[in-house]
Amino acid sequence: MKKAFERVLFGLVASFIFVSAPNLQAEEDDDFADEFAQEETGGEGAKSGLEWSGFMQFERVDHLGTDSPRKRKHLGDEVRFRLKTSHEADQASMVLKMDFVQDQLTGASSVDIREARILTTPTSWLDLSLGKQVNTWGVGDMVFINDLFPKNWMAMFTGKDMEFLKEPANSYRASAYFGDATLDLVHHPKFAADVTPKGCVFAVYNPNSMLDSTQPQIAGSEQACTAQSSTQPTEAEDAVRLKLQKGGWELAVYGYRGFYKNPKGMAMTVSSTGATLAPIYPRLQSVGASAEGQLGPGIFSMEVGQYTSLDDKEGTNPLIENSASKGLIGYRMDFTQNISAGVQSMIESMNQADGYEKGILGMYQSMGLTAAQAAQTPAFVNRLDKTRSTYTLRLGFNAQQETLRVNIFAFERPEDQDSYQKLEITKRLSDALVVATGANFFKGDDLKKDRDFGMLTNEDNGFARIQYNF
Amino acid sequence: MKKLFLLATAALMPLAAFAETGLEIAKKASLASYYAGDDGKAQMLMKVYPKNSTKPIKKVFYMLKKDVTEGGEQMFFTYFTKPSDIARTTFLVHKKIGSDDFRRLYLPASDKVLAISGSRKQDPFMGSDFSYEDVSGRHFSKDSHKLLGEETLNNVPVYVVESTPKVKEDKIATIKAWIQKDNYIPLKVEFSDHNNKVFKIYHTGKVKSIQGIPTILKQVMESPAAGTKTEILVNPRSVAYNLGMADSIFTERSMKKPPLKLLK
Repeated sequence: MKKAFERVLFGLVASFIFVSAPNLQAEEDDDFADEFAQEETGGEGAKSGLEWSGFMQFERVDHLGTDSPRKRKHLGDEVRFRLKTSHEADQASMVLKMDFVQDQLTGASSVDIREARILTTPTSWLDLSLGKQVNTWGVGDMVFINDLFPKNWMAMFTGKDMEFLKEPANSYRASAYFGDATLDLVHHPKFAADVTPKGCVFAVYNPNSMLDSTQPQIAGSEQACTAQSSTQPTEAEDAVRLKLQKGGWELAVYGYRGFYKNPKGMAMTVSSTGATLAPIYPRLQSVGASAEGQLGPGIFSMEVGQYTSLDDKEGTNPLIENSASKGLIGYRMDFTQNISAGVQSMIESMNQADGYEKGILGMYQSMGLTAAQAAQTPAFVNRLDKTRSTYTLRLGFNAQQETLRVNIFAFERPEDQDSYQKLEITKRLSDALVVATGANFFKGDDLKKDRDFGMLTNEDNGFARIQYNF
Repeated sequence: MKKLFLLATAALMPLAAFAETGLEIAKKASLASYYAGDDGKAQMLMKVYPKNSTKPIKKVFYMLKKDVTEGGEQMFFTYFTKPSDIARTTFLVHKKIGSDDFRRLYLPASDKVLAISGSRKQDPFMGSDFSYEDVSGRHFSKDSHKLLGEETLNNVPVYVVESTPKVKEDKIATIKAWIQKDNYIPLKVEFSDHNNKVFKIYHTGKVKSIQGIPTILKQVMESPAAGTKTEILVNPRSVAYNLGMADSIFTERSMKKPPLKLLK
């Protein structure tokens, strides 16, 4: 029995050698054939069958300082094993990318499918991409007006590689090409929300502190993560873009119908014990436009958008985000072969600021306060400004034949009185080995704890990872 | 009488060829190195050697090119396959003459096509000792060319041509090229800065005739001051010319959905 097994095994090995032999003896006169044979594992179509590549990664995120309300030193400690492959056939091609993740803090393991899609071209002018995938458009760098596809801010704020900022989701994408024009339609059968700071990792703003001053403004709990997803809508969302390429310039118009990507609204529940607020995702419709192209030595970009808050068109409900007009301009360029920089300025203007203000006063008056008292509440005094601006700065530096990269990205929001800076240093040590380290810094005003970056004051963190690619 | 005149002109022809000017040689060298075939494809292995190191960082990519006009505008499509963390990254260049190139970079992880400024043609290509211009070809109209003489380089008869930028440039003061006489392949090129110091030296390592076209299979660029070196090797089995490539290959659509059938 054992003999027979060995014979079969020998036969298999022998046939394998026989099959691969012609490859070995081909092109004997070429010095480089061997070298390429070694490198060909990643070459599409080099061999038949699926070819796998990926990485093994260890990543660690720690608080800098211990003054976080959550008092957690370790924010993250994970081992990630990635496998990816793609396959091309006559009718369609397939891309698969999946991560096996072991969370060393909780001991939980999970499979994170980053990409699983089929691409097909049913007619010459049409491409379809179906499955779990990342979609992105718009011209902003880390600021998004018309790109209402899901983002993972949690990954960004804990120093994960930039690819994790774009959160994959199940979607159908159709791209139709007519000369210089491209029409893209993206349908998410189920709304895909941003991954916003989780109360189980960071301490985040507690909206109930608005109603009950004895509650902490910033809080978090181990249970907070599981509670969050239950409030997400399950309806579909749709996005459309028409893009025109003209002489190195790219012009586009956009439309979107769905929901605010982060919980920009609150639902109040009144019970015998009092009123409580829970975050919700209000309905959103938007239209916009953008332009990007070479101007002087760098790339100029601009984008505008009009957000309509469908659940509060009059803007009188202070618990629902007001409709707003948004616009940004940006410019980026390389100063030397080693130094690059980019700046952006974004303005967001509330469409019904009067209604918003009256709404806050009305809410407190309905709770029994006089108009004068309502105007003294912290929620009214520190309400959102009618017009808010965001400035961003990107600085890039590379050295050692671009194997060492230093990136700094800074957000500054004067009206919200908060800021965020991210530093990342990446070094490629060999073909396979890449190491990275960096830090995230947040700052906010004590009176404006509800702001996106401000709520994360005291959550400064540092991260490090090592990645082995195969 | 007319016939006699024609004959006389014909007899003089070899002499005229012998008296080629620097510009003519530079133009033919450019056509031989960058405009071979109307289109072409190759798999390349780029080895970037860090300072004082014998262990290179390797990148494998396929390059497709198509000439828009012979000796003029060109389109390049570069598709990376290795290392695996940059696999599927695509770089598109529409080379312009006398204006900024059109450059786009596709990042597969975020499915984003990024506009890249096309003005800095001397910046390194993917961290290598080769500049963007070295890879896509410096156009002969940018320089004044002077034939310095003829000599032999490793027993190969060559022209020696010195080229000077017509408009003053930051990095390059002069380019001296040793160009093989029979096929106009540049065998050696020295790039000098404004202090008359050679800051980059190029060598052609190996040439093979493929479809009757002399094809450079090994290019080496050294930066003596920095102590770095880059080799670009071409897989001879992957090279093909005049495939009748469609213009649609050199578009954003194709960056997202690469022509994998061609990339073999």
